[in-house]
Amino acid sequence: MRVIIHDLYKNTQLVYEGDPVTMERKLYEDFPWAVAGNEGNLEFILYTIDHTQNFGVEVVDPLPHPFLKGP
Amino acid sequence: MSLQDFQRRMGMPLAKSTSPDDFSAIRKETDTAGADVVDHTADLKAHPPSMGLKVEAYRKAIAHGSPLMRTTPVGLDGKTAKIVYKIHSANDLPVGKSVLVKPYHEKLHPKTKYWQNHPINGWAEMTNQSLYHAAGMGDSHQEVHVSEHDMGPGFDKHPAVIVHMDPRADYVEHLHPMDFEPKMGVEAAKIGVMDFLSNNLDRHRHNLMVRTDGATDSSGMPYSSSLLAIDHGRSFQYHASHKGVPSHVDDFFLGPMTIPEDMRTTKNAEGKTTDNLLPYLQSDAMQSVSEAAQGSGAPAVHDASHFLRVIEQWWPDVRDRVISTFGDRLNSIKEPRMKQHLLENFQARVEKLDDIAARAEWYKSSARIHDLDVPLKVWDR
Repeated sequence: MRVIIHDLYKNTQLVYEGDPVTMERKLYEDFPWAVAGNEGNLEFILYTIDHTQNFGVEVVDPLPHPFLKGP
Repeated sequence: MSLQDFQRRMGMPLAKSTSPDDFSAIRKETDTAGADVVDHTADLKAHPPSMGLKVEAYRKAIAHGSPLMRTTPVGLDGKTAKIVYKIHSANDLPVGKSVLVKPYHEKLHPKTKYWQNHPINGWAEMTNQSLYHAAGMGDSHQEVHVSEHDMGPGFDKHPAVIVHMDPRADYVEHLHPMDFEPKMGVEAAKIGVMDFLSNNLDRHRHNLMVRTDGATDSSGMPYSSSLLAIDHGRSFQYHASHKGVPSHVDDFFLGPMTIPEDMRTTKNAEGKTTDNLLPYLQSDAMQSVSEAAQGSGAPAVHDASHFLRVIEQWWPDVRDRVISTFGDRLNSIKEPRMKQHLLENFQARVEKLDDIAARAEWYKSSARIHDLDVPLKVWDR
């Protein structure tokens, strides 16, 4: 799957590709505050990033359930 | 591709400055209960006077008086409840500046209910800005105002929070010890204290920014390095404690201490009865400042002698204005129980700061972590 995280403040983007487990590990490096406490719930991690002021999350190629768990 | 999408991709101004379609995500993320809790009309004028021209120019633009260029990526249409507009013409606002529009009455996610329980996002953002100015630290807060927008049927005069984005700012995690200035340590401590006052549990490392030397203002004058606090919509909840969020704290006397696992979550009972000043000075963002400070030989933000001195020297001078401003802000809260909830918790934190300022020497010599506790009075909506 592929996720693009748009930094609306800096007008840049970060692209994450791969399986959800690898993606979560990479996200933890860049967004530890969004992952901590939400481990294993990629959908909610992305929601958390999306609902902070500067970031917008674009899921380009989502994998179906059960890889994306609901909140 | 529609003409509108084409124009957005090509970076051309739209025929209209804004369109109700732009706000589909904001409509979707609006909590209709929010209007029963907060009256937004006072917030239309709650920005500081220094922002007057910018606010006037923005309102003229969304009323189609001058062009704005929407720059939010097309892929985010309808997903994220935020929109970025770039100021296209030099009519009234500086060319190249951007504004970010976000919901005023933002819907709360069920999974975050343990720490976000009240639909007061827009009020919280504007109240933080007012309190920063009352506390003599307005420059440390992002510039925000509230405007009404035509967001379509049923939302024809709907409020949104407008953030005037500062192009000089970078995330605090990029702050290098070489760029650290002692005054930033003071700013950080004050921001941590304001987070404590407002129960802001959201001070992660992307919600504190730094403006470093080399940046210049519109007249070419250099700015000195300074901190910029952003995104305060989730504050003033008083629904969860910051206690236990760090795994380690530095006790004034006992040194580094490990916080037991069951104390680290804000979901536990302890986290529902008391809160504590110290974790606000040790949040993710504050850790970034502390690392830069220590790298340059300055004390960490959570160093007791540092933050107690800041409170002692600053709080007594500003507390009356802060209290008075908060009282004014409470007039916008329509729900009496909510108003009482805000007042009780805010007052408890003010009393703690008063005590620290009055007995700073005792705190410096004898205090322990629990002496920085305050009662947390939770109201389950």
